[in-house]
Amino acid sequence: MSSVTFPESVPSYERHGLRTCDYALSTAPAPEAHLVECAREGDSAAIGALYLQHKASVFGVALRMLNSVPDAEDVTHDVFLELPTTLKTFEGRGRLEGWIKRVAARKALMMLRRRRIQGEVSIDGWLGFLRSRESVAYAERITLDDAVRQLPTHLRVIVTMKMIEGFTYPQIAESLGLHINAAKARIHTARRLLQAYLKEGW
Amino acid sequence: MFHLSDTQLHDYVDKELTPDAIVATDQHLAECAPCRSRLSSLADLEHQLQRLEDPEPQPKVYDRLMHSLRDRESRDRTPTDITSPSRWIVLARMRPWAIAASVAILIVAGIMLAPDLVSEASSLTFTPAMPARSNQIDIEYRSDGRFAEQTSLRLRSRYRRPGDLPYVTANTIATTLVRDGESRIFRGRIRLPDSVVYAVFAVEDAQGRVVDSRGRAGWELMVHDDGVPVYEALVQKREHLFGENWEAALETQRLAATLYPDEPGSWHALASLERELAGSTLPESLSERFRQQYDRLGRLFEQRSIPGSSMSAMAFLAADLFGSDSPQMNMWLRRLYAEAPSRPDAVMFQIDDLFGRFGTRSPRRMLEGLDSLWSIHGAVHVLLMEEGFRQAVALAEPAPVARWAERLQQAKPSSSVSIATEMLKHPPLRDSGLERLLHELNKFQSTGDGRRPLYRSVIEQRRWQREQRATIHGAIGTALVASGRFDEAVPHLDSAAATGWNVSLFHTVAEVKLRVSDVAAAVDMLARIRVDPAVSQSFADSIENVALSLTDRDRWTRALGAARREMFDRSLAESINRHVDGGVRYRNRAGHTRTLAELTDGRVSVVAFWSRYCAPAITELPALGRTSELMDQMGAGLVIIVNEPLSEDLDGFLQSRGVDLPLVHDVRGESLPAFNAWSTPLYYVLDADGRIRFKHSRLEDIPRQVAALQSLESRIIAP
Repeated sequence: MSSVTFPESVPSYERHGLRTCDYALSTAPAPEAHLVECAREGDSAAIGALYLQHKASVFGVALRMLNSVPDAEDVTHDVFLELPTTLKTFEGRGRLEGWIKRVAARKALMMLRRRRIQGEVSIDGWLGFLRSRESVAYAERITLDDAVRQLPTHLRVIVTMKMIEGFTYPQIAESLGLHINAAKARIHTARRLLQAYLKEGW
Repeated sequence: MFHLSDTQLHDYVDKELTPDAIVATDQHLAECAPCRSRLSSLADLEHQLQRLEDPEPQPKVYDRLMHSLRDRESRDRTPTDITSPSRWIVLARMRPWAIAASVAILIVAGIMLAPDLVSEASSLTFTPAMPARSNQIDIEYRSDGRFAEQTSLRLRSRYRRPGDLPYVTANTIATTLVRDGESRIFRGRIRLPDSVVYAVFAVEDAQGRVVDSRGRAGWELMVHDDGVPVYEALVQKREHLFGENWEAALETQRLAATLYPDEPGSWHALASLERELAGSTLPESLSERFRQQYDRLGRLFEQRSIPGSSMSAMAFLAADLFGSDSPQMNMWLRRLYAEAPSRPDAVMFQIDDLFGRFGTRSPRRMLEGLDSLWSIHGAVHVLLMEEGFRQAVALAEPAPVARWAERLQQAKPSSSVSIATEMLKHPPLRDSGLERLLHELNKFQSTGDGRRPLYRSVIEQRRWQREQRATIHGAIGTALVASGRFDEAVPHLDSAAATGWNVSLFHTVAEVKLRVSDVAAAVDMLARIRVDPAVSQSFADSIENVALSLTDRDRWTRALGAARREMFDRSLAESINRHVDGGVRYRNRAGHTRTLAELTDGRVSVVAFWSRYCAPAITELPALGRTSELMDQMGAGLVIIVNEPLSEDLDGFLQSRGVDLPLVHDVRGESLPAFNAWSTPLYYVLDADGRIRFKHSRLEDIPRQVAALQSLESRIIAP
């Protein structure tokens, strides 16, 4: 585990009124298992420490799935705020990072579903994808990140889950309510589009 | 040699294959370089994706989290402090960051949703947005205020099925949308018929007088298969966009080729579109890519049984890439004739082959060949009937013209007017042609709603029908003139000249009026030609000379005055009055930002949407150049909006075509929503107050529309 360094603006534990955990963050990072235990009990300091370790993973999943910084920030905030409840389902067998990414993905999915109900998601995404490819000047290098961002929502979500964050097909199928074969077909389509995008052609 | 399918490769990368399948795949990969290369490209993508760096959230997210945690802690500690539960909930919800955020949202909303835009935008949403075949679909229409008085609206749909042809706007059906309480929202529900793959919708009031068609573009629905548009839906979308929006048609076809790379029709249609839009030849860089696809598909189909449509698409693609009659094309044709000889495509190639052998050199031999195809295959493809009729007309013998006219009429009823008009040119068939045209006239009397395009209101449809009737009257009148039946021609010509504004028709009418010794009427027609600002000075002078040989100057001056009033009135009768935001910004050639209001500068002005990537826009370029000069002479403004930065390359493109145009670049894409314009070329005429008075004008009508608005201006300004 990488060491935790606090930026100066972050208040110390004392100022947050640390109650139960006795580790000293200023000297050595606490073991993750211990942080998880404390966070499960609602310890703000432990949650803060977990945030600093996993913020990029969680924010990354949310941003890729939602394509919106404010929405991804909301998801990140909520994932860590709700850790005391959600950690009850973490059995501590796998790595926390993989688990917390799946939690983030589920939260992002919920937000997407809400958006869909509000009619924000449309099939225009398809043409937007190609149009954005056309509009990028040929001299400019298109990054894979750009390409993922430009995918239609339903493909962007599944690519994030499968290819970037390492979800298994059964996990994806369950989260999205899809048949495994349908999940596979979407991944194949997404890969084809990404390859096309990167080649600036087909 | 066979190749691994895409699915096999993906499963291999995903480690989803059985151990046996992995061994088999490994063996194949060891021997097959193309598959190895495909695998490595896929594996490379996978590798890159997994190594994408996660972006860091901004520090404020941490602060916000800490605020929330503190907030919760204090709540947990002192729940009894809060006396009223409802206040507690409100406080819990309104944390400081939340208040700050909601203020920020309000500010952003205030900036982005200026009142003008809010009132302009209507929307139509579908649930599900990506339906499968024959799904039930909930429709929600959010109106923009134009239907304030209505409790229900009509949702009109144009359904497209596989095989539907381009340029067909008829066959619409309607459903009812009902207002949801007091809101701006109307709801309804439809079920897509099984066979429908693509649909376009527009909304109108119950009488069909006010239409919201999103500026002709409509709202579309594509049938999907698990979140991916089905191939036929993309094909039908492309067909729908033909002649409406070529760029969008090209984009759609690119998407089809990307999603369905093993469908040769994707590539053939894409190659044709790219070629058309690039101006008749494919750029070398594109040709290379298409050749790679052609080779790939060729290997894929080598030992596989494929449908006739795939064979013909391969033949077409080969013709595009290597020329017609190339060995590659002939190879696919031989296969097509052997495996699917009576497919429509096979017949089309046989027509093409006949054309190559006899073409324009011997219409008689060509026609014999076509008749023989007809006797074998019947009405297998509309192209057979069209070509047969065309060749019969070229041969100019009544019997074949009559024969093929009947066949074409059966196959394509929408071309009945042009068939009949063509028949009028052959004296023996003239009576039959006249009879058909009179029959057509009756058809245009009725207001069959199914034939009305989505974007046209009932009022516009009536006007359109009136124009169609006038055109038919004109054709009948002209045919009767050609037969020397002048007296019979007069009423038809009078009907034709009573609506619209058609200089060449006025010319014909003037001639006929002289023949029947109605000099006064002839002079009136000549005056109409003389006052039209689109007519060249020399032609106008010669018209004036003729008129002055028929009448005196006083009478001529009065006729000119009456003609001018008539022209203005007829033009203004077609006018609308719609607001457009004068603050829309453009970048001009000097790199300066100018608003629409600055560019039009209080003048009657023409606003054109133009693109050099659009074949019809390029076709109109010379006429647009002439319009530009004319607007200069008339003291009218002209703003030509393009969707690309103004560059030397673009200048060179225009120079090579001998035109110089006042282009501006719509950097922010503000124009399209402001004008509700979604295609090129598209012309609008604005009055001196900057309001849209004519939309989707034809170039030839613009000068008189401008003159009419200018006259209105001088009438208002004059005391």
